[in-house]
Amino acid sequence: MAVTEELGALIGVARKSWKVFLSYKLWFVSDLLMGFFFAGNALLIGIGLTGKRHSESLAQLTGYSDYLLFAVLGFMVLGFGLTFLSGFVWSVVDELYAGTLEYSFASPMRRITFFLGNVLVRLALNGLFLLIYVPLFVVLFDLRIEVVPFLKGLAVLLLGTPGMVGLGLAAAGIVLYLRDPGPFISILEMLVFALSGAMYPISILPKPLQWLAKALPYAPTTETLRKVVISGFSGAVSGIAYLAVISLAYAFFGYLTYKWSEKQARKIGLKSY
Amino acid sequence: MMPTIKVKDLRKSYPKRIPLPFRRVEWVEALKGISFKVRKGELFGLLGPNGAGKTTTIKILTTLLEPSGGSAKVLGYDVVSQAREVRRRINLVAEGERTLYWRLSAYENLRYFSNIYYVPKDEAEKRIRELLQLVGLWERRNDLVMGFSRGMKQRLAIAKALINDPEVLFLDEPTLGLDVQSALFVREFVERLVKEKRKTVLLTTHHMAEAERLCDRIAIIDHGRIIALNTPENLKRLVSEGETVEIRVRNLRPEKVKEVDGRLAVSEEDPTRGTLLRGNLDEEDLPRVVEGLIRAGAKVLSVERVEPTLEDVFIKLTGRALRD
Repeated sequence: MAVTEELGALIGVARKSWKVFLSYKLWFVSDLLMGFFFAGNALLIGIGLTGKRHSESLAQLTGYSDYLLFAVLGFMVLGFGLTFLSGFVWSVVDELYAGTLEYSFASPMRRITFFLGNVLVRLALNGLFLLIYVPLFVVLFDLRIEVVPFLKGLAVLLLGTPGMVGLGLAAAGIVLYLRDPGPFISILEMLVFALSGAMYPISILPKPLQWLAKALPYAPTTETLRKVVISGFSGAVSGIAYLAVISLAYAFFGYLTYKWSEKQARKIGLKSY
Repeated sequence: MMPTIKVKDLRKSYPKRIPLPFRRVEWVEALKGISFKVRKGELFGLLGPNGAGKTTTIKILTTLLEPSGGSAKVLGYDVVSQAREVRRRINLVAEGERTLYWRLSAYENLRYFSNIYYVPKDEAEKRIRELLQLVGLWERRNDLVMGFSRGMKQRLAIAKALINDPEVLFLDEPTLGLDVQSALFVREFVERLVKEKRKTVLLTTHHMAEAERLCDRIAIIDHGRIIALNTPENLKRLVSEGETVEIRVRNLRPEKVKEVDGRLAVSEEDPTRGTLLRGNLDEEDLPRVVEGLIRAGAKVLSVERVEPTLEDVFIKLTGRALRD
């Protein structure tokens, strides 16, 4: 009963979010174009830097010689991870500005249902865009990707998901405290982008930044996914184990941080409280 | 019988700034230990000026805020430790018009709220139709809320507040900013809810006539304290009949009023009709007060004995009018 009630609420939030998203029609177009620009840029940067499509130095560092495939996989993880981070944070901020957060939070629906419902549409869109991009990249840019290894990579993405959800929850909790959350969100997104390993291997970063990147759930997900795509699960056991631990740790951390933040917000009367 | 709402020594303090480590923060007491009980099927009013603590009380009772001290129970559930149980059984109409999704239609708004209040699908469809018909918005169900007037938005907010068929309804200034016709609709609707559906309603207002007309009992709240609690009739008995006087004057600065007589308060300021003073004065004092007003430079336009209202009770208890 409780599960079906919560599922109904999840669908309700997702439907509301979809309708609101559709009312801003240009967002749909810009989201769709974003993937093409990213892949196009990745291809041009790769060719511009090395003079050719395949790079020996990238292959030495990561096992991938095709920078486009490397970047497409990285972008997939980054887009997925940022959906939780930005999605959770903006679902609080947008509803605060609109004045509707109070009504949603006064309902019996669980907070995680509210957050996941708000990003469900974006996740579905990400999946849809991927279904459009990948075949197009295969045709346009001669992207070579095999289905079975790619599906194994998606399993790694699922393993990293609790950690990315946790970080999104922690960020949403912090946002409750900020008078103007816009700059915080921008900095956070830039930081995640720089440390995600989406565009370049994190091994080229200075050591402190490498540690920081490994301490967040994005780069371990990206690197393990890439490893699994080229050498299967058996070739990435240590990466999978590390990702499982860090993902679980962030899930707990995020849950506790958000719970604490909301309790504090209720106590001191922040924003909509 | 267990009260539907039970509030005991409820306190709430807000920090003036966000508390951070190593930052000294001053706290402001918004509620200073209020206590009251609301019975099932009662329409209970919290009447007080802006900043008295009415909205804070509603936010605590609807689980949006945690109290700093004391306790509050709704339908026997503690608003802090059993918040979700409380939320399932209540609903609210919050102050202000930006509480609904303006980019959704009236129907889509109610459908969303039926989902997050766990109303089963078949039941929800039936209820949405009934509620939209009840508030006169069925014909406009597919129109976006952004195109609605303030009154229509408030009617939709009330329909939203009934979507889970709540046992207790909290209404925070439900007629604030509405035109006369819409305010009348809301008042009649709330009256019917209590009489016909036996809902328990807690309503906040700073509109005395509204409180007097609608509420079975009223708690007058000022500076975070309940200063009187009774039926409207009994509250008005605090002011003896024949004592209430309305004096309309011109050319008198409001700050001069208290200098003339502390029992007088400014009830209304109208640039064309002058300033209306109200107070509870004995027969013998009246000529002296009028003289005092004239000496203070006022032109006295009229002096009239009137029936006491809740505003006179507030003036008698606090020395101020509700608008101050």
